Amino acid sequence: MTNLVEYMLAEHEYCNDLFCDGENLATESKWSELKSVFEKFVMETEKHFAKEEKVLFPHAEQSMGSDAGPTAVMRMEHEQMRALIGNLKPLIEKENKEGFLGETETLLVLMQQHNMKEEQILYPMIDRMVGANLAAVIDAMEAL
Amino acid sequence: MDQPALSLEQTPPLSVPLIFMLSAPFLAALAGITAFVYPESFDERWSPAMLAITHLLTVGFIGMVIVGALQQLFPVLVGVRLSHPVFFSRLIYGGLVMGVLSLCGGFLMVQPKVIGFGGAILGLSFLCLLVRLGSAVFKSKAIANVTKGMKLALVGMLLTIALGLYLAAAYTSSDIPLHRFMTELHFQWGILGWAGMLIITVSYQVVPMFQVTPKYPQKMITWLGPSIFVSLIMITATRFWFFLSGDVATYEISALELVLFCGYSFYAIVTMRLQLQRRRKVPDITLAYWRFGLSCLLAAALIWSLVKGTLIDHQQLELALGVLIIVGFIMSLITGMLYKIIPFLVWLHLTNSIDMSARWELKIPNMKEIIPDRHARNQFRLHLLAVSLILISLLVKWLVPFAAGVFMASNLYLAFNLVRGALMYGHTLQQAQPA
Repeated sequence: MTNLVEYMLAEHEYCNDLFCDGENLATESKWSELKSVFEKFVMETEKHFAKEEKVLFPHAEQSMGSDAGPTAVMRMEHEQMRALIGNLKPLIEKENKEGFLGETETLLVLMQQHNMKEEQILYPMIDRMVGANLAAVIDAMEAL
Repeated sequence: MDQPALSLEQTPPLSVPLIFMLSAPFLAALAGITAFVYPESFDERWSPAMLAITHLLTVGFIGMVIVGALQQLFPVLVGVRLSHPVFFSRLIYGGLVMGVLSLCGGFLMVQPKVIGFGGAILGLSFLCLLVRLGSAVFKSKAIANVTKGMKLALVGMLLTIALGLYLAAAYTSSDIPLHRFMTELHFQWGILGWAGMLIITVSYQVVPMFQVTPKYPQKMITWLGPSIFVSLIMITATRFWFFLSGDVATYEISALELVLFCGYSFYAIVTMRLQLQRRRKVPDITLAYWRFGLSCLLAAALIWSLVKGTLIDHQQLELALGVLIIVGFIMSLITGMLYKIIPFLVWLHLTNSIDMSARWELKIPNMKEIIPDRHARNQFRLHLLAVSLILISLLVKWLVPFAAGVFMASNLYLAFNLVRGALMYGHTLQQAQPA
């Protein structure tokens, strides 16, 4: 059976790959290719956020009996990432390389420290809470 | 069910890590000034001026940044909250600054009592931190890769403090004999058992994450830290054993140090290999600093084998070893990380505070607007020049004041970059205030 931490980790890695591809295309000023990679990155990131916000976090919040704990911080960081991703779109339109790479540098650090907290602490914790319901939880995430 | 003490939201106030990190380059610049005023300090490894310079770099720069970073990263890395962050941060900061300045002043003015006072204050401040971090790390339920290395580093820290306190007491009182082998041990534990061990442990997280490389091999994570730790323990035991029996232990110590240097070289080579496989191709100042720092580490290992292999008169080579490890390796890696940590923290705290005041129309400066790449690159070039000049000046004596001046300039430039970035926090918040 799939392990929750590994399942989520693979998603992080996929988004990271798309992110790096996008940045690499920007350094080479390949704007038209960047546009499609960027769209895919946004789509995959939103899909991952949805899995957490709609399935995984509510599960954790239910077992903890509170939605004010660590999941609230994770949700807030999702919003911060959405804001940074929102800054990127007009920079691609304007083909502003310096501006784009400045925003992506910030997004990378925000994203990675967020992933680190999830992978080190939050996912193992939720994994313990979910216990035998793991298959159902993963099915629910896949169904989104 | 047993709930881990989870504290993802525990970001301490910006000033907690910043006061340490912003003071560090100024104290390193002070080391440059000391070398400029006392160029003869380079003639002898244990001269008082050289001891002052070494402590300004190790405690003043390396120690300061590590203490600041640990208070920021600890809640994230080991998932345990530290209580009263502001109070303890100020207390430890005051102790470290007062301690290192007294210690170094005492060395330069040859005032044993001042040396003892500075050493005691430093020891107490570090112990205070050690107790805080130690109790947290042993409570932690974060994954073992992080906490195990942290525990070893904290034991390294404890031994460094204990040896340091003994040496400070020996300087102060004529009743306590001063043994050079203990100075060696104090140095090795501080640099390779504490700072180096922390850097290796943090690398396992930081390199794959922020430089987007493959992960370190799990076997290495399991074995490298403990091997380095055990070889240091055996070096310590052997030195004490031979000291008590009155023999000279050149051969045995060298054999054990070989394990130590092989371990560190292995770390350098694996890290450089991972960096070659990185997916991100964007030019990155942190990566440049790391590559240079790891090359210095390999050069140090090479010089070490030269010294041990040839047994020529190696006073200058031993100094070169110290320069490569402290300034070349550890300071470079730390500076590289500062160029990520400070702009990110400024951005993060701005985002959090402006978010709360709901003024979204204001554009929050991104990391590269907080510290422009151009300035970071120029400062890196100055650092390269400084390290090269210091190494050359070990052979060409009249270059010492010049090398010291460039080193000072490089650190003041670093201070300028970091302080300007930090000040942007206040400026941006002011703009965000409704008129």
